[in-house]
Amino acid sequence: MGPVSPAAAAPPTAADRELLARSDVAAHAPDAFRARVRVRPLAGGAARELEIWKGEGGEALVRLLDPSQRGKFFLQRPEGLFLITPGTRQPVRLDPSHRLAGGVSLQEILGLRLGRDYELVDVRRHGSGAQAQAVLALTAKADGLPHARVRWVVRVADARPLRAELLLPSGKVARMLEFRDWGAGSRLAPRQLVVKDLLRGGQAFAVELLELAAAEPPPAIFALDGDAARAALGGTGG
Amino acid sequence: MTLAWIALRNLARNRRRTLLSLLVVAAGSVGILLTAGFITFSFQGLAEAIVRGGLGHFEIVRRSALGGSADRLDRPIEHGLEDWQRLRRRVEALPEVAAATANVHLLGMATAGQATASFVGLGVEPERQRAMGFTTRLRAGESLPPVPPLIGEEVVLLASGLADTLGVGPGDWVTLMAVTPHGMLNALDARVVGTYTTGLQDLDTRFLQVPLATAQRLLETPLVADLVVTLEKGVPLERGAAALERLAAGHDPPLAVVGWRQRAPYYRQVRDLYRGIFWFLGSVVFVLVVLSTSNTLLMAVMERLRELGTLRAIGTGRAQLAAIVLCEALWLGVLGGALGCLLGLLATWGINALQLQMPPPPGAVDPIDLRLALLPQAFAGTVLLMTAVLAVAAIVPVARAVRLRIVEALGHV
Amino acid sequence: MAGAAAEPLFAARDLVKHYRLGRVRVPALRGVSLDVSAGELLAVVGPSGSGKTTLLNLLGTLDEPDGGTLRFAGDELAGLSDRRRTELRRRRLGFVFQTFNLVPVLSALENVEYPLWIAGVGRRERRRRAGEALDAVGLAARSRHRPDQLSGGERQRVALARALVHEPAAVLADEPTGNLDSVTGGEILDLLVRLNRERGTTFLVATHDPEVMRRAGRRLTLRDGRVAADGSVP
Repeated sequence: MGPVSPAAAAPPTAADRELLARSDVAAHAPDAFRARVRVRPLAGGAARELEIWKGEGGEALVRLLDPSQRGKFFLQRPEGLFLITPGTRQPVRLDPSHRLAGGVSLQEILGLRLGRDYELVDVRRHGSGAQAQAVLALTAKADGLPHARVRWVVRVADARPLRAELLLPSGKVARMLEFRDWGAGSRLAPRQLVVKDLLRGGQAFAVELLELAAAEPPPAIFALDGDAARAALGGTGG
Repeated sequence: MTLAWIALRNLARNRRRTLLSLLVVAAGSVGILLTAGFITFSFQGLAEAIVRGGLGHFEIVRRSALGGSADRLDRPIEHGLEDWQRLRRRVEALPEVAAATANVHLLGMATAGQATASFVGLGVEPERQRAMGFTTRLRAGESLPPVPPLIGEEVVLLASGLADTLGVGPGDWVTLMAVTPHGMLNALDARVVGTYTTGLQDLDTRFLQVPLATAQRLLETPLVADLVVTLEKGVPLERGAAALERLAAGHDPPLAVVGWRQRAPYYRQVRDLYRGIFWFLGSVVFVLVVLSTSNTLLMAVMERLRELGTLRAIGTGRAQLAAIVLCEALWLGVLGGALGCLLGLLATWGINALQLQMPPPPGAVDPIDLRLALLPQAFAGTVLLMTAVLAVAAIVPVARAVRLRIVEALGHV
Repeated sequence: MAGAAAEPLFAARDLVKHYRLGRVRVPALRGVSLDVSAGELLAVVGPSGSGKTTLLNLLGTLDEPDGGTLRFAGDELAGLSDRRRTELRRRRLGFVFQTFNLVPVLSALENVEYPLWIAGVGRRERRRRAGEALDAVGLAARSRHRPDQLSGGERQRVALARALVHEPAAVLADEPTGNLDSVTGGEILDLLVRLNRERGTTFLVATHDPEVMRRAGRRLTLRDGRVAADGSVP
């Protein structure tokens, strides 16, 4: 299903805001957790498993579980995204929208913080009954976010997000996230999502959430010089 | 008494005018010879510089790396050579081959402190390259060490412009980042051993060299992009190509042998430019010589109109008359061309002996030697050319002679 | 001797020739008829502008008439291609000019060789015949000299030898003594008469020279492009 050509747009109502809040996936995630994710290119090719640690302060650490990539981490800190590898003494600063494992950015895996980072501008509704959908148009509250505009498509009946369209300032759709499967339980946790790049040849990746559990990450792993703590992670999980 | 001898004697009738014509032809010949000599020397020098600059005579790659286009220049490592050491042994066993070296092509970002720059790089085997006569023009520090570095002790040789952008020099550290063929990002710290120049300002801001092992570690791959091959001295390119093609035939995965000219579009562009200039100059010389000598030959015919009329009267055919006039023109071409060759030879020796230098061409770094190549075939060709030019110049005078009306000519004073 | 049985060497009927002088058409011959037999020594006389040179040019195929007919040795000349006419001159006619017209870069011998050279005769035979021709005009000793090293009379002798070396049927001479003093001219005339008598070569001589008129066998007088008189010289 491709991008929806919207019906008439209307200013957001309270019901719309509530719909947004209920479907804000990232807001429903635990503040601190450990997750295991598999990223697979749909066109064929090796799948990659990642271990993700998220801290309460918003920091995140991605450990590549591929044995050939031992010792390689991506570290998200307030000041930016870093690459940590055995071959370099210092962490190497990266562009925040850098695609880990070739296809998907960390932000796309962790989810957009819609409520926190975006403003609801207008809503288009169409369909009816069980098929009713709402297309929520969101604009970034501040500069510096990778995507200035987002279209968030939600199934009205159960406030399940169906699709996120990440737009360029011009309005052209750059990336699309499709929520394919949901985890069991009350918490809103996507099990599988498909990430498509619409700008450059339409490469698509399937992201599977294999594990997600609230956890207390060892604090030192988010430090720029926390190599020892990170090395110790190798013995846990994975 | 032959046609040629008579024509020669006719030329001697007006010594000064003949000498002047010979000098015009000679001057045209000298112009062409010196230009050809300069252009040839430049091409030879350029070709040598390109081959010795690392392109070698031939490159062996996987056919899939070319993506169907022989002009493709990038060498994605995904299409690299696997069992390359064995392939290299087989290549070096060929009698036509002097040596072969493996390369890895790199693209990525280099950082040093806050400074960042994108780079285009080559993973090389420094010792082999030196043995093959590939030169690197150092600007500071040292060239890459002969022994492959151990893990964690990577080194890099930066082009001078890139080093300036990053604000580093020999002894400093830079971080090299690249995407591996598996789509993963990887980074390595490397110590700068030295800086060099590619000879072209634009390339100096982007290029670097690392040892082959470093490049392979950065790209997390055991493959190499290609094997660069140089031939033994004196082996013609065609023979080398044939030998390498035979070796590559039947290899799985399929291999391609690419000549250096295909990998040096710059050379082709320069060569085409120079050829255009040469033809333009040649045309100018042609027109000048034709106009000048045609006029002289016509004057000679007009002055002898009564004599030519007499010859027609006593039974000389039109064709025979044309031959007499044409022969004089051809002599001018041969003698003038020969004189031009002699003067051209002296001028070539003289200019080469002076060892002059010309300023660097746009975008280049070093001045160029002003030297002229000596080509025996150019000398022979120039004499033939001038003879042909004079034949063209003779068209109008011959036509005038052939079309003369006998009675009018006899009455001509 | 023009006998009714023998075909004349030259047979001209009503020859007409015009020349263009700017926009004006000048008539040079207005209907000239004559027969010349083999072996004759014919003097063509008349004042300047009477058409003597024009007549000789037409008879020698150097030019073509605007009207009338002309036959040489029985063959019609009208409509002959340039190649055929050139060949005719090469094999069967000789020319002597008032201004000698020798090739300055060739020696006397080479000048005489020339007609044989263009006829394709081999070197040895060429040399021999040219040598004999020069000998016949008394210049064997000067064979290596160039024209600029010869006197006027010597040059005209060389020209005569050249005109005769290929044994033509007729020699056309336009004012052969015109540029020579009377003594030298007389010598040339003696040569002409002797060669005509010894070889039987037909000579047509356009001339002002009274001596030539006197010693010719027949005199054709032209006036204003027409034949004024034609008869044997007493």
